[in-house]
Amino acid sequence: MKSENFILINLNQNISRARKVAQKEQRDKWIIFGLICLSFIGLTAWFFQINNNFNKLIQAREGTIENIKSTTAKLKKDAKINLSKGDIISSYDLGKRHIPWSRKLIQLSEMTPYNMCITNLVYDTKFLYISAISKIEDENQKEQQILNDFMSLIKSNEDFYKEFDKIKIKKSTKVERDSQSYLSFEISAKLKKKLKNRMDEIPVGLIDDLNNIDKEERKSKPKTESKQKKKEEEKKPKYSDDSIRLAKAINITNGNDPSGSKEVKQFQQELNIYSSDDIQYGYWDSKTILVYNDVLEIKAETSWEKEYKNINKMLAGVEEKSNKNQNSKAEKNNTRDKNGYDKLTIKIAYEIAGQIGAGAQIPDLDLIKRFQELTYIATENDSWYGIFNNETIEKLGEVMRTQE
Amino acid sequence: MKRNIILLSLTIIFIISSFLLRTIMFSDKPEQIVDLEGIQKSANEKYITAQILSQSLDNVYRLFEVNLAASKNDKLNEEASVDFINTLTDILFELKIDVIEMKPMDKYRSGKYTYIPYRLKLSCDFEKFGKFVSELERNERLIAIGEFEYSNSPENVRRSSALTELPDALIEMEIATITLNKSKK
Repeated sequence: MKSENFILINLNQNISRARKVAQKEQRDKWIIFGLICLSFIGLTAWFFQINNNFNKLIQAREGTIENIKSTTAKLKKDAKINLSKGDIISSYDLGKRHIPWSRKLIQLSEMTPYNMCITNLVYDTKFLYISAISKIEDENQKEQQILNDFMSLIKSNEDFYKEFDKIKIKKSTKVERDSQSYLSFEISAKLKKKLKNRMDEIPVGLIDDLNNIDKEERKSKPKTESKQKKKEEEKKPKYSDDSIRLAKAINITNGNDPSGSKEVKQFQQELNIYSSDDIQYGYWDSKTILVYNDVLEIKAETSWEKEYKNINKMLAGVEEKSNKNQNSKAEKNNTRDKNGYDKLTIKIAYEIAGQIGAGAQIPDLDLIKRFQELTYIATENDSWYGIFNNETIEKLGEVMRTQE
Repeated sequence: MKRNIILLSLTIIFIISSFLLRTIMFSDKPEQIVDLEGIQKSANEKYITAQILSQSLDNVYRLFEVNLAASKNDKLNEEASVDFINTLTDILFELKIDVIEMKPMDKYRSGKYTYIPYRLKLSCDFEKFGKFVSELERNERLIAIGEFEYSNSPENVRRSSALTELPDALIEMEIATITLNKSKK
């Protein structure tokens, strides 16, 4: 018999099924066991996570506190009270209940016509009652008109009416006394239930400005200190003893022109004004005079000296800012602008300035006379004609400045 | 059986470890966080105050210094404060306003504020009344004008014997000092 003709039947099937069930049960139990173990592990991990979060929160809070403390310490102010945000808000909220009565009373007195007298004024938290008596000037004048005018006046005053909702006539009566008619009336103005906080109207810029003023006031001390320091620095000698000695050696007494002298050359070299290659080397010119004055701290006292110094500065090309400001002022004050002086005046002014720059105390007489004539300072009939007086010096300075 | 023993022992270990973790690691942390919150609040308040001072907001600082009560029993919450009555009397004396009556009333609380009212009966003209109101508003102590009645009736004028000047008006008003109570927030 061929084995192919038989059917193979497993007679142990029941036993193996039971085993499989048992195996499955075991497996399930292990799965549950594993899950329980996993949940234990998970829970433990979760605990640690919570702990970690707690630590982070504590650290963050401690950091914030430290930060606040250090910032507070930087502000370096001792305060007797501690303010919270709530305190500040509650003080701000007070503005919602505040009515500026002093302002309102002033406004009311301003709005009251000359022929009207306020007889009663009552405020009872909800209403403001205004009782008044008004003289009826004209018999043809309508009584209602007086009332309407007054009420519209109140309504039109934006600031006064801000806290009020509506305004009504309570009563009005015409009174006759001594052949004169009066209107006695009472009006009521209802207050708004919710008042607008007037603190909101204060512009922040204004607060900033006020703060800035305060800050500036506080800063003014260090500023003055720095100014003092600057002054002290200025006082400190910026030129060496050699420079001062050389400057002192230059002889300019009695109008002496020291041009070409050894002292001038040494002085110019020492202070790097000019080198031997320069054309101006050895000349007692404007730049050298300026430095000389600076070294010996010679200050211009008279107007002549001031103008002389200014002219020197102009010629040396080192005019001060303040002088420029003066120029602008002079330009503003003077109706004649830059082009207000003719070419001849300017030419003569330059010639005079040139002579001054070259060291002359008094420029050429003819030049002075011509300049005075051209600038209408003097004519030949005037006693000061040809005299290089303060007015002429100032005018010269003015002409020179307009050319800058 | 073995597995059950392991599971049981694991459970016991877990319970013990959880208990230990809670007692050793967690126990004081929530409290610590709450404490830190309080410290932060206090530090923050100091910072705000210092900031106000640093910005030269002296008037703002002064406002709180004069009007902020730290507790219910603070001096600022006192009824019929002698200091305030003195200030009020000084103002009235300076403005030459006749005081007919001055009566302190029971205080009351409205929200965060404590109002300590005073009823006044005065006699003065409109200008002085305006100046008085202005002085009240300018005062360092927060003062609210609760009610007022300015009475300048023609009868009053008629009753006056002097012909050279108008008689003073009669003013009744209720004012109240406002105390800011320290916010708990």
